[in-house]
Amino acid sequence: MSSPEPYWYLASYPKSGNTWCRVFITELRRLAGLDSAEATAAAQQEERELRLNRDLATGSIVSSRHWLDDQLGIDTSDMSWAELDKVRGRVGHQRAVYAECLRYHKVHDAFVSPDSAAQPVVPVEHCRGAVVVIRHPEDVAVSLSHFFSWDLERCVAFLLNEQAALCRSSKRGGQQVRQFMGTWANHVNSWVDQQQIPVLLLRYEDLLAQPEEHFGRLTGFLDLPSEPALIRQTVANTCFEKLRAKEEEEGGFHERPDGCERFFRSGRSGEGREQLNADQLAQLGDAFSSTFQQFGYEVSTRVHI
Amino acid sequence: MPRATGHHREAFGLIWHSPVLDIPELPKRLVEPRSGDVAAVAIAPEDPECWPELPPGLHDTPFLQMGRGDLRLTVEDIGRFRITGGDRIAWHRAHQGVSDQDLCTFLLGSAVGALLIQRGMLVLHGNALEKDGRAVVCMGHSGAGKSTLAYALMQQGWRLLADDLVAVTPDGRVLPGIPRIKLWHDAAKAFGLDLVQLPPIRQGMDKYLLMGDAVHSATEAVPLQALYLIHQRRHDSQDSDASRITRITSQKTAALRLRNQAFRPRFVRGLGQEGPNFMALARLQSRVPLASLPMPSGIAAMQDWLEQQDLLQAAATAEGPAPAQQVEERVSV
Repeated sequence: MSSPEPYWYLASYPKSGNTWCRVFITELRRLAGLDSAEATAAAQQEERELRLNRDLATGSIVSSRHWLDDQLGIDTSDMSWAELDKVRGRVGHQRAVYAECLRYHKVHDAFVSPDSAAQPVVPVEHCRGAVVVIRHPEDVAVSLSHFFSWDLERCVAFLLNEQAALCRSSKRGGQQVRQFMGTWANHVNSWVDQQQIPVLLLRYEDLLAQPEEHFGRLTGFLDLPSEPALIRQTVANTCFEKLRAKEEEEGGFHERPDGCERFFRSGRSGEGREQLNADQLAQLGDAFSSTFQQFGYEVSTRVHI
Repeated sequence: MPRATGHHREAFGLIWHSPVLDIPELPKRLVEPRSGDVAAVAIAPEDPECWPELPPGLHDTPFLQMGRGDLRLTVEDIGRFRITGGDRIAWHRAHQGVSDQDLCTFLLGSAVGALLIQRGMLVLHGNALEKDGRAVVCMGHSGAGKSTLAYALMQQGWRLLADDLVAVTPDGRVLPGIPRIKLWHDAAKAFGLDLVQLPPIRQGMDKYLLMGDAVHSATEAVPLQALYLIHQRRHDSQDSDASRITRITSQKTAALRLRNQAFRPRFVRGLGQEGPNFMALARLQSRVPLASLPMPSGIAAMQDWLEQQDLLQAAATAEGPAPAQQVEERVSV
């Protein structure tokens, strides 16, 4: 077996800033000269595919069927979701043959699933830790709504659904396996409360408000260079307006996901409070009150504007 | 050499002899083999306790151990397989609750592929279909829609040569492989198939097995005419190349894409077959055109679109990518 290489997870509920963090890491490594031009191009391509595929298919997401097939030596579409969740955490961490840039794995799964028998759904052996990025679920609802072309009511119901999962249909194929999440609070707590790998918790809101401070915590946790000037430059190069402009520019010859008008859409916080109705805000506030308290989120009431 | 006892089946130009485990997906051999006629493979149960220890390999995973001419695969709660010397598959049932069908599914998918690789055969991950004595091979990663495409082509007069594993001979012919198609529930339904009549690939799964009379299969090896990489097309694409078959003109891109579509590159490496495999791929690339095939989403749209394509010729006659795409092509491999 190949010698273990360090790796980390970037764990988040969808639409909470995971891709932003990955873009930041790629850019910081490029600026610091840690990667060859070729490796940077490959990572950027991967990011682009991440944004452009509706089901978020990518080589290095932990739920990638291609990666699991390679590690398990079988066609995972011959297995049920329940069978897969039992083995996923034990696939080890061999570098996928011919794949690049596998050091920072994106993951949307909760840490454990009802099928995984209390064992992690992701490999933890030799893992250095997980960056857990969270975002106020009111804003996640709005972002999900644009991404999946769902109405807000459906998004709120999704955040509250104890069985929620990505790619959960067992009736069709796809490039990713099912990713169990449960409710938004279940998802966050499953990562924060686990004792098997170290966690760095980042709030999307803090990354927006004090980017240099909080991206600095990220680089420290990931053993990346943390000089203030480097972080400042990387923050400037990956600010929302830059990413959005880049996406526009690429739109000319790139496919965009069906139905989703753009990936880097608004990035703002507080949209949920403006767009969700009183009932929807109350549902989220009631269900997640203790988790809100734990992470310093306020329960919103309807703001009239 | 196995005795002729009526358990002989034939695929990939080999005789498969499995006296204990019936493998209905493999076609029956109509003529009993004469000694030395065709190479034979033995498939038999064995106790893994008796398997000699294998030194750790560079490409091993917790479920897969490999050495030259020896591959061990563990499928959790299903069974274990050992493939040796290119002529033997040993299997072990994890417990009595595991059905023959469960064993066959993984034996056909992984063990047979490993055995073909051990024999030095070029194995591609895709489907092969035949028309007018010529074959096309459609490749794509798991979930890309290969089986759906194969079934749609079969509705249009193509005959199925091989599903999942495609073996190509050094002189560029595709060998008849496993003539079955596995269709997900949604695809089978969209094709108007009666799901009640179809066996699931495994108990409890919403994926169905089409074999025997349900498929039109080809039984002779035929020359390979074109290679396709399939991907799903998007509705709102503004890219002019996204809706047409596009020849992959860059030799480097073609080589990398083909390499990535080889069946289980980890097996190839772990079994020490990377060198021969590289040479076989280079030979294939030099003689057969490779093109990308953007599949429209939705079964009806896909069928309509396929009606208008001449897949035997399209890869060779299609234009390469538009100039703006060539940059992309370089970075996306």
